[in-house]
Amino acid sequence: MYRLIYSTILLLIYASFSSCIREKTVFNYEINNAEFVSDDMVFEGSNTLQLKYMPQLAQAAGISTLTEDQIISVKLTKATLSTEDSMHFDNINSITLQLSTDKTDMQEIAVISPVSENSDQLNMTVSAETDVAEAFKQKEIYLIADIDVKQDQTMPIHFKAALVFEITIKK
Amino acid sequence: MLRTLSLLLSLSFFSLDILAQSNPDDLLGLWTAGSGKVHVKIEKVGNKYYGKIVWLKIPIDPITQKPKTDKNNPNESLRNTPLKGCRILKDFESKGEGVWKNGTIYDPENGKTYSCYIKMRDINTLDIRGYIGISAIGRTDVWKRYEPSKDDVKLH
Repeated sequence: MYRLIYSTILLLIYASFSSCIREKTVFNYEINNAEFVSDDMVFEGSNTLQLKYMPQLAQAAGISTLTEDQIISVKLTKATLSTEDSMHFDNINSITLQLSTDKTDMQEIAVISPVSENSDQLNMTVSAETDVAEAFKQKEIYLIADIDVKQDQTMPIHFKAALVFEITIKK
Repeated sequence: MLRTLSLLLSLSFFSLDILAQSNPDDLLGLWTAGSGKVHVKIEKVGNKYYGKIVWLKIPIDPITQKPKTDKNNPNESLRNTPLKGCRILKDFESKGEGVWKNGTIYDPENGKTYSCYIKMRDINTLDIRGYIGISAIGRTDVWKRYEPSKDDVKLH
């Protein structure tokens, strides 16, 4: 009888441990062609461009579902901006990229200052310390670009962002 | 005496009524901080409110002779972020009756972030209370809505 109880307890402990110690997986998640477009006109000084995005982490991880507690960390490792505008980024002093959701705080994830002239592609400095896992647990995220414009411009500003996040999950 | 008192009471009820009817988006726009050193533009992202510095009285760092940056940011990789454009008010949610809560205020002077709530005194005046832990321990700054006619500085 005692042996049966002892075995059952051991089995329960093993079962709970095996469910807790899940295999960790790290993979890259890319957001490509995230298009930022300003209103018709931009003014000298700070302007805000924003877009809404729906992360698809489960699909990228190759699993059917991904629960919130499976997402351990999400860090931006690369941020590149590109434009097909003939003016390049020449009318912009600096660009700061931030991420926010309706349920989590806004976090600064990348910056470029100053912006080099005659360039149609920019590599931003990413914030290696910033973990945006909580934001990626939400259905929708907002990507916000704060751009410091040199002078008034009647044509809208538009550029694309290519972002690479390093995702750590429990499978 | 009694007439004055009743007039005051009716006025205070009237102002309370105005705040009760206020639109959460009344917070949007340009504001001048109490010091007059910065102007902040409050915008909405999703259902929350954020404020960023759009004008600095002294935009150039006297040491570097370059535009001021967020040099006290606790996150080293972000210290090159220009101060003009820096979001100092973050994540405010409207609680109705001219109050916005659950946000933070960032002080670029020391790189610290404080809990904060905003109370609209009237359509052109905000009480911005930054605090640590409980709201009783903190400081309130009074911000005024930016009026271009009073200031010839070009702002956008």
